[in-house]
Amino acid sequence: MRTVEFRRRREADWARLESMVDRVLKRGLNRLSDAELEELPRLYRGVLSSLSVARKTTLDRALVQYLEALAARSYLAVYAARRSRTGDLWRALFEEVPRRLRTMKVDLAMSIAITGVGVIVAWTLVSADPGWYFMFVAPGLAGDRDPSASTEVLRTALYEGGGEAGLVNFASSLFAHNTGIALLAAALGFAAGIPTALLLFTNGLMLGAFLQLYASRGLLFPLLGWLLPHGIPEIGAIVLCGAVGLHWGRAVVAPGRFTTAVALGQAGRRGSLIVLSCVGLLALAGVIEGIFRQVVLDDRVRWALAAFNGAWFFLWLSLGGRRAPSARRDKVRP
Amino acid sequence: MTAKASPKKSAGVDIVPPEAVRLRFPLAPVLSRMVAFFVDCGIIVILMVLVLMLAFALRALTAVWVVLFFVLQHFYFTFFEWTWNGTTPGKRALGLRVISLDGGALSLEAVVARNLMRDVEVFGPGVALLAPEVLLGSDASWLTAAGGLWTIVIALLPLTTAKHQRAGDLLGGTVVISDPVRIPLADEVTARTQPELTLHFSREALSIYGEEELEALVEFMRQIDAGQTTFIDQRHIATTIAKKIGYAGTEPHEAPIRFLRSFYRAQRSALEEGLLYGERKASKFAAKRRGSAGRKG
Repeated sequence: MRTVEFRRRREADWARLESMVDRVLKRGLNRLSDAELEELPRLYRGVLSSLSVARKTTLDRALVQYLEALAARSYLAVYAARRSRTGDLWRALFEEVPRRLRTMKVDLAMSIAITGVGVIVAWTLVSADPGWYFMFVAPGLAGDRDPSASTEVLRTALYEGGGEAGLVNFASSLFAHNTGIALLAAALGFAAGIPTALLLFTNGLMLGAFLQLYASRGLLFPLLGWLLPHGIPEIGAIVLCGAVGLHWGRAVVAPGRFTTAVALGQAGRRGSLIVLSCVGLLALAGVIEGIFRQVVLDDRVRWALAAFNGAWFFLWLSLGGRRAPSARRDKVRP
Repeated sequence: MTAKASPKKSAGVDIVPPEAVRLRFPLAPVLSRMVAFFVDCGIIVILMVLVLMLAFALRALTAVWVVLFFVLQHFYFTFFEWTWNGTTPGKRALGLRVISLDGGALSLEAVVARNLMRDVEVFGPGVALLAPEVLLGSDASWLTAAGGLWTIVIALLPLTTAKHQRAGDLLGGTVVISDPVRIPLADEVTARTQPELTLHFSREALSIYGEEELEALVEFMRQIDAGQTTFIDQRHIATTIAKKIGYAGTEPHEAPIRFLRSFYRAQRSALEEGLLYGERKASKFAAKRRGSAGRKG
């Protein structure tokens, strides 16, 4: 019988694949010899085609069930998670992330706009009535830096150093705290982006109130020197994570021509690398905020670092991942 | 697929790999996933305790264990799902695995995306209900209620989506399956048929029964091969079949096994030839159907 012949000719291959797949699923692809590794994809494709044929031409249900199980398990063995080399990962973060952000201009703009509106609102309200300050800045964060403090107290707060051991601890706790908030800002985008928007807005409020307080005492320049070196990566990371969150929110609310599930899947994978890069940015911000800022008390050095940070951050976002024009021309030539 | 579709045991999900052959995987039950999650949390706690003890023993800076705690809390799942092919220790203990819905390999982006939401799903409800000022910056009770309600909706997603996807699965385009069970290959039933002893059946005789009856016959023949049937049973089955198809001969009564083996072989050949022309006969009650050969892959 044709189908009996079909099975007899392939049984040995299937048995070999079965033993390979057993080992791979238990311990990973390392357990296979080189020869087996070369054979695996061929056997896998063979089983899939046998399954496809068997489904249509044979009435031996036991055989079909066996092939279904074998095919499913070989799929899991062959399509293991793509382990990219470390170099690829770095390249992804440096080039792919800005490229994706540039496709998410709408969300980026919204994220910046919401934060900006928060800053402006807080600034206006606090300059009209300093009592608003306490609404926008949590007392734990402010410490004794509020409208009731004297200008001298505010000024010295910008230049206090810290003990050596305490600095690293301070940096790490800042990193953990801020990264938690940034990750939350992104994840909350799932709720149609509303909590993300609120988070960005209140962040902006806090910033605006703080800026206004120092500006009203004529301390804006030193304050920015104190804030910007770590603020650029930190606030930048929060804005980027907020943009990702808003992007996800838009996928929930307006999936376009896809179903919500498909749109979310695409949006999620698009944004996750960005969030990963923000973790790196926040680690950097933590180091600057925890160590550099306490050690370096000179406004000019601080401003220099702030300018440097602003420069590479902006350049990374706008130029990262763009191919040089000559390279593009080479691609067109056959 | 044979015409009589196998009864749906547990819910399954169809994946089409790049080779374009549809594969079916059993969906992991939500309860198993919760248990696996608790096991993983337990492991995280144990690791944190170990880190703490090590840090104190070595008088390391607070920074060291703060950062390690952060990494453990947020990247434990990502690390394992990325390096262990979609499983974590907890999931492995329960035989679960994460796979990508688009049929390709699990990508880092999918793994990161699906684990980002866990903070919201697990800690979100607690934060939204107990300490809303962390999120909102001011006291607003209706916002708290809305936030709490929303996090409950998110937490219940695995029960409401068709593929038991939680919010993280939706974001990563992934689904959690139970590892497929290994099925051994049963012996070929026709192997014991000796060609020279086969009987001849007319075409009309072979057009009575359908695939269902063939399946039942295979079961019976497996029992014969295992020695679980009596001569009376074999003769009974053989004579019933002979009567139905109008077979005139003494073999069903005297050598039922030989009759059954021949009949099975002949009937299966006949039905399989029909398959090649796209004709299917589900059972003796069904009329012969011309179905599309490409039906159900």
